[in-house]
Amino acid sequence: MNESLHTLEAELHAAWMQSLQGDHASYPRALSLMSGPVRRFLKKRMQSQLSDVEDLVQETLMTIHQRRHTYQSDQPLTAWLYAIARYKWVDHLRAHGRREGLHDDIDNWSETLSVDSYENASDANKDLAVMLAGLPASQRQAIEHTRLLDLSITETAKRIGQSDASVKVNIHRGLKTLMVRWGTTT
Amino acid sequence: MNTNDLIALLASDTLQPQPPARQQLLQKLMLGAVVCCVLLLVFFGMNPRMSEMALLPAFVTKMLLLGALMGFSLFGLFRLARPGVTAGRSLWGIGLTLLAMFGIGLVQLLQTGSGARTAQWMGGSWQVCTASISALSLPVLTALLWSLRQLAPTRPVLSGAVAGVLAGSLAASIYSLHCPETSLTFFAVWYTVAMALSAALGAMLGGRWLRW
Repeated sequence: MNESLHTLEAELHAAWMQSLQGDHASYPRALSLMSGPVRRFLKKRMQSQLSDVEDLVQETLMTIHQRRHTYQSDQPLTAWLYAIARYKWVDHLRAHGRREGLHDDIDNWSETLSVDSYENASDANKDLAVMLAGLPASQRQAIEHTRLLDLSITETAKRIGQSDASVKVNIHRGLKTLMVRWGTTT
Repeated sequence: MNTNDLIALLASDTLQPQPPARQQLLQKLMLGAVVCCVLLLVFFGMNPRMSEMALLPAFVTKMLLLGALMGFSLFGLFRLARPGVTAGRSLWGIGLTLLAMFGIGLVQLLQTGSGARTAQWMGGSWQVCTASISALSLPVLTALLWSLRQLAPTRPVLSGAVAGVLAGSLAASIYSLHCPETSLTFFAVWYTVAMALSAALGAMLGGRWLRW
C-alpha cells in the first residue's frame, strides 16, 4: 500500500465508520470523500468517453449507498470502494461495448478528412479553371460571379453588363454544358 | 443531476441499511434447508434403518465430507458476496474435499472383489439418487441466489457456482437421511454428479441473475 492510498484509507475509513455508527453529518462528507478517488479511477479508464464519467460516478455512489451493508469493517474500505467502481465500469463497458464498437468518432479521422495541404486546394482550383475555360465568356462569367464569388444575380448582371434574365439563362446553360462534358448523370 | 445534490439526496435517505451479508446468507440458507427437509419427509421419507445406518463408518465419513463441502462453500460465499474480497482458500478447500472423496471411493472400489465392483459403484439406486439430490438442491439454490441479489458479488458466475456447491452438498446431506446406499464409491460418483449439476446450474443462473 503506498503512502497516498494509506492516507486515503485512514481518512475514508474514519468518516465512513462514524457515519455508519449513526453520525448523520459525516455521511455526506464520507460520500464526497469517496467520489474523488472514484472519479479519478473512472477517468483513467474512460479516456474515450469522458462525457460518461460523471454519470458513472453518480451510479457508483448510488450503489455504494444501496449496498453499504456489504462492507465489513475489518476489510480495507478502499478495496471495497474500488471493487464497486470497477464492477460498474465493466458493466458500463458491457452495456455500451456493442454500440461503441460501431461508433467512430469523427475526431479520429480529422487528418484524413480535412484538406491537409495547400497543394490539394490549388489543384482543385486549377481543374476548375480548366473546366470553365471551355465555356463561352458570357456563361463563364455568369457562373464565376454567382457560384464562385457568391454574388447575387442582380449584382452579377450589373458587373458583367447583362440583364438579370440572361444571367440566369447563361448560368443554366453553362452548368448544363459542364454536366454534359465533365459530369456524371446524377 | 449535480453530484453534490445526489450526495445530499442519498444522505437524506432514512432507510436503515440491510443486515450484513453473513446474516442474510445464513437466513436464506436456513430457509432453503427447511424447505428441503420438508420435501424429503413428504416425497422420500426417512430411511427406516437410520439408527443402524448412522453408526456405520461409511455414513459418518460421508457426512463429514459433505459437512466439509458445506463449510468451505459457505465460507467462500460469505467472501464472494462482498466487493473487494477474493474467494480466498475456499476453492482449494472444495477441491481438496472432492479429491478426498474420489480417493476414498477409489480405494474402496479397489478393495472390492472384481465380481462385486459394478454393484459397488452402481449401487441399487443410482437412477434416482442423482435426480433426487439435484431436485432437492433447487429450493436451496434459489434461496441462496435470491440472497446474493441483495448483496454485491463482483464475480457472478463463480458466486453462482459456489452457491450451487453449497446447495448441492446441503441437499445431499439431507438426502442421506433417506439414501439406503452404504458404498463410498457410490457416494463419490453419484453424489458428485448431482452436486456438479447444481454448481453448473448455479453458475449459469448466477451469470444472469446476479447483476446489480
